[in-house]
Amino acid sequence: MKDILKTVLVLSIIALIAGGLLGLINHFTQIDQEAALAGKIEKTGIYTGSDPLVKLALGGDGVSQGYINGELKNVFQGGEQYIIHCSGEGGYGGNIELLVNIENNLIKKIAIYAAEETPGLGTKAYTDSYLSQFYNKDLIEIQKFALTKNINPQTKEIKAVTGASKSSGAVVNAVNVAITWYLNHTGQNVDVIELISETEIYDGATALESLNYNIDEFNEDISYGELKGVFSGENCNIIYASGNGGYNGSIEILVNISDSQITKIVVFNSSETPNRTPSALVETYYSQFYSVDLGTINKFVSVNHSTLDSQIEAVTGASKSSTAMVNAVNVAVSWYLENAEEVEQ
Amino acid sequence: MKKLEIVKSGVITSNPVFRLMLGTCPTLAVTTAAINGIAMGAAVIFVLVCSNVLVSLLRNIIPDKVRIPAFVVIIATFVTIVQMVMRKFVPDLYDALGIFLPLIVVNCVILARAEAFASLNPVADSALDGLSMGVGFMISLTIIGMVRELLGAGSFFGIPISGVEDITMTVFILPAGGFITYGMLLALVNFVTAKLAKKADAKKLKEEAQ
Repeated sequence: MKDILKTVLVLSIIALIAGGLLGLINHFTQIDQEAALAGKIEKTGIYTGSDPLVKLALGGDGVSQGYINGELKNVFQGGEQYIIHCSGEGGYGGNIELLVNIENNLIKKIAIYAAEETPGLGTKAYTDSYLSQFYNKDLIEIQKFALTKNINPQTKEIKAVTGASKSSGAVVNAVNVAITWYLNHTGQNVDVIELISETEIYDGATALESLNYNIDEFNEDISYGELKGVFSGENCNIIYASGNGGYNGSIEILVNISDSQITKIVVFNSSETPNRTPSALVETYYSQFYSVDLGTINKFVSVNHSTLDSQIEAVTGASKSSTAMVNAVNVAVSWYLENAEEVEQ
Repeated sequence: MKKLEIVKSGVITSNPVFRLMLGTCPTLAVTTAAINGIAMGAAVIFVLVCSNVLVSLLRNIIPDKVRIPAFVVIIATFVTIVQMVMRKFVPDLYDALGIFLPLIVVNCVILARAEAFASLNPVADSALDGLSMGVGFMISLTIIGMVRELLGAGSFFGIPISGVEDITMTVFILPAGGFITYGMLLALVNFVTAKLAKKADAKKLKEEAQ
């Protein structure tokens, strides 16, 4: 008994003293988040204006397109310059946080705020030679950057750093968050319907119309993806959905459902490794979803070998992308099955 | 033990990385750049010295049955203090070490020295042991880091070396390269140690013969 009391007493006293010491040190080493942010902004020299920076209140901006694979953290404004603090998912060592300076529809400068990529490899995505690809391009035309491995990228494309595609991709994701916010804030974002109409998903005569549907309520029940928009067209519905679980984040797709069957799928946005074979973002893979009577299945399942209509064979070597694609399609199917009676056929 | 012997043991003869083979996890993970080796080494020195001193001071008070939990609480406290101070004053290095800073708590070197030395020896000796083990750890990590950084990224402490940059072998800054470098250096250390031991034996025999 005395033994037990002594051990308990000694341990408790040690723990108490340790706790007290930690509390004291914590008090003296507190990081003021605001001060840290302001300090970093000054240290990186990202802001080149003379007016004092004002922190903007976020939210309620009426963002029509959500942020994919990234997060908006803070926005500061000084004169015509906006300093946007944002993060992008999919880096090798986690999320990458950036400070992006946008002025008059052009990105003037990007600075790394926080990142933990592999030194000597992923850190090459912090260098000016990589980041300068984003600078001084008309954001209204670009709308969103895409990662590529082509040696001669187009204007909208950013060439990834060799051997550091995840790090490069995370930077692209973060920049796209900043661009999305900027275009929404200055009222210059292109309407989603216009972007969708530019793809091959719909070839009907009448224009696409957005359906009046409570998307948020629908999304409360699903965890594997997100419904982003529902549109009606000539004899079909176009569903804009995203699926979680891809290699570099979520994948956004457009699904054309007509007569209870998926007739076409288009990959709308993704951060998966570009120019890669094998890939789950090509029609040879996702044509498996076509022409299956959605009334006979509950949802699609990703498998290695398919024996049923509802089973979709995953692409060997691209299983995460395959999973994300199946998730995205299931969001669309789930919506369709729930609302099949109400939609116009 | 004589003071000089303690110092020699920690840095050379019982080097925690190359002879005791302790703390391999942070060793391999952190040494992708030489400066990381120094930063990690500095943090470990601080924790080792403080925990050794405290454990030695309390060695007659902590009951034998609960010595391990007591050691871990003490070590964890000091590591957390190092974390908080680093985050405030050197945030770049704090970011570079990432998860491996809190992992010092379970770094075998620290618990091993607390158990094998500090709990059995007076305060001054324990402090010295902590210091020498920490210095040995720091030197070893820095050497491994220098090799990996030079061969894998073509730079020396962050400064790119123009000739080497073109012939880098990326594998060296990846985990596999960590093992390779560690193994090679270990072989080198064993070779040198064996040779020195042979020399010492030969010298001894000669002296005995006379």
